[in-house]
Amino acid sequence: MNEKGPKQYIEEIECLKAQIKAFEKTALDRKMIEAQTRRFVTILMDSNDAITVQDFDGKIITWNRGAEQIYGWSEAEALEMNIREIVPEDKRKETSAFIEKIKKGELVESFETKRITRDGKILDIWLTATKLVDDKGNPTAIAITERNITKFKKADKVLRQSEERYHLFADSVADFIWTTDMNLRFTYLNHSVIYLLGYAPEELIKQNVAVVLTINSSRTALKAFEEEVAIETSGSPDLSRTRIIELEHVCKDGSTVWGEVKMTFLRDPDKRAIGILGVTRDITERKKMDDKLMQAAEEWRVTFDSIVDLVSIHSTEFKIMRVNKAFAGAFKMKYQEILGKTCYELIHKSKEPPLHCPHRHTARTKEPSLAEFFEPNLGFYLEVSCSPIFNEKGEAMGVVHIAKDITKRKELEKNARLAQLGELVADMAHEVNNPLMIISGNAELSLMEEIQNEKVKDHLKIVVEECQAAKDIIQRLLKFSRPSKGVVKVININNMIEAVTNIIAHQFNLDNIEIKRNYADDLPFISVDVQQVQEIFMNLLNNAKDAMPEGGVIEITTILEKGFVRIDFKDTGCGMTEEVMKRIFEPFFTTKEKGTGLGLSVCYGIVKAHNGELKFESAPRKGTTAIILLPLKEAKEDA
Amino acid sequence: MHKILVVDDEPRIAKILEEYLTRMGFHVTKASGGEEAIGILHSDVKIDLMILDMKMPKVGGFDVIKEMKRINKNIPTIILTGSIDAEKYLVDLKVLGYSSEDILYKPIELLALLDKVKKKLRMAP
Repeated sequence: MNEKGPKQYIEEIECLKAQIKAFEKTALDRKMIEAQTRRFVTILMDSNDAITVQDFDGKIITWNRGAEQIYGWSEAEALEMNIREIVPEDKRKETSAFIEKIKKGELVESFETKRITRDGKILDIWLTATKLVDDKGNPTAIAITERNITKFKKADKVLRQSEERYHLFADSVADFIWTTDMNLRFTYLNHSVIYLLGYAPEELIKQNVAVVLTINSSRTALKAFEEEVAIETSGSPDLSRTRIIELEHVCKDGSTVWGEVKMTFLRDPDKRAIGILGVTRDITERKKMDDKLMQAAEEWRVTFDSIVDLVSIHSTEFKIMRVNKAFAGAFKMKYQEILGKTCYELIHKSKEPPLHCPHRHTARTKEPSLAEFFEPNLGFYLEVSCSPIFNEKGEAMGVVHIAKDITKRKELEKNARLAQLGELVADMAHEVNNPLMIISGNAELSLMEEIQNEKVKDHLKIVVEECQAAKDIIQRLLKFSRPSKGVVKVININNMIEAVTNIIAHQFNLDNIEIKRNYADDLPFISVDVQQVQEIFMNLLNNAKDAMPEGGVIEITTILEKGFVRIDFKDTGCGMTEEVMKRIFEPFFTTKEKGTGLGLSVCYGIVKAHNGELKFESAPRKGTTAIILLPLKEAKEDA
Repeated sequence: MHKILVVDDEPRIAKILEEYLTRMGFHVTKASGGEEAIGILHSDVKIDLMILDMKMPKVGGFDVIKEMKRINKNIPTIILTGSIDAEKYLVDLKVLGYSSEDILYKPIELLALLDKVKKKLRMAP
């Protein structure tokens, strides 16, 4: 050891002084550093994150309050522990690896891992490891910040699971479910898109929806979108509203399918629309069915309107619900003028259904029924059949009416009846004429005997006379049943009428009846059985006279009408009721006290034999017009 | 004396005609139907005039006329009818040489019949 001189002590003292000074300064610095360090340590020690320091062997050097809270060991306990004690078995390798990495020079390492708590719970941890070095830069320890992310992980897991479930659900439904952003680009498509459109979801993602729509449907979709956006910006829209539109989609192979698209806006937490959620259902089949239904409905309508009968559908309370074209045409009315009215106010102009109404019967019995009647408001005979309409439950929903104009059939029936009657009359005539002949013959024979009693003679004479009168009646009957053609001549009808009026002029004058003539000048000649047609004129003029016991006017008009010469005898007499009009041509039907009821039936037979028409227009107290139509046959007048 | 054959299935009419014509001085033979009349026509009985009803059961008046023509007898005939049935045969009757003048409609006035009978027999009225 070397001896120290005084100089050396002085130097040492000076040195010590300097050192003390330096020390004092250092102490001051240290104080500052200590204060600063305390602040850091306080922050670190109080942090909610676990902040620990370990050496490279894993021995815990520092253990803050966050670590105490997260892992459950106190600082004192932890400082006795190795970090490996809080690392689960399966993470030990990972831990060794990152320690090695840091040792070799990596500064910071962050990753997700797991740790065990004191009571054995496994925590999800976000770990950041930092290398601590000494003054010379040599690694001394590792500082680790650990954040317990178990809760987030759980929430995240739940979220992910729910999303997965949702996607699973979305993929398992047949409907095509999708979302778009507000630029109408797909942001999600479920698996069903492949079945509907033939595209895989990933082929369409980020594509505009227009890719899978026809041009028309694109327009429809865009229009709907714009309208919905407009609703968004106006007032307070219903945020949960949905909209359904039908769009025609274009598949990958170019074919098209119809989809019913139900859409709603996707919203951010501020309820702003940020996209669209849509569910598209394949309705091609339904569309086809709709088309078929439409076609069926159209077919039905066309058929309904093609029926020439008057078809109408009524509520059970007689209200008209639907009519066909022929019905509307018969009334010359528009559909809306007809619908809602009752049939009795429309057809019969009455306040309640008439007694003969078959609808009444059907509504009561739920059975079909049929009626024939003359409807004066339409001017023809109707056959109306009513059938009840039942719904699926068998309840009566209404009644369908089919009304036929049976005027022609009625005419034929009448003719057939008249023909039958004619035969009957012919038979009867024969049967009656024999007894008449016997009566009359015996009376005549008796008259040849010596009869003193004049009275008896007179009685017998009356018998003979009346037998002849009866014979005349029978002859007329026979004429009616088989009008015999007499002499056919080509004549001017005006001249013929004049010939008849000349005969009756005197008598009519006495009865205060004026005859007005309204003859067409240019009538062509027609060929008629003069005697028979004169009989018609005579009959009609006499009928007119009988209708005017107080006197009146008979206006005779002749005119050319569609291939016929028309002769009208119009009187100002008492007219006829409908009932009388209907029976007017029936043999033996008469309203006169002394009439035989054969006049008009004979006239009718004659006109028919001429291929003409005889008809009447009349109403009570409004007079009667007898109309005769005789077919034209141009010819020169016979001399 | 002229002999008249009256053919009618109604016996009372035949009787009236018989009685009347007998009274008027004719000899009358009656037939109650077409068959009997044809029988008489086929016999040697001489008939000057026949009054023939048209409508009879089985063999009618027209059948009698046809048969008469067939066997070349040409007896003047007055046709009686109760209806316009005769008109049905009018055309055929015309072909056989008859006219509406030869037809009388029942019930006939006996005087009118007598008139016709006399004309047919070319007797003075």
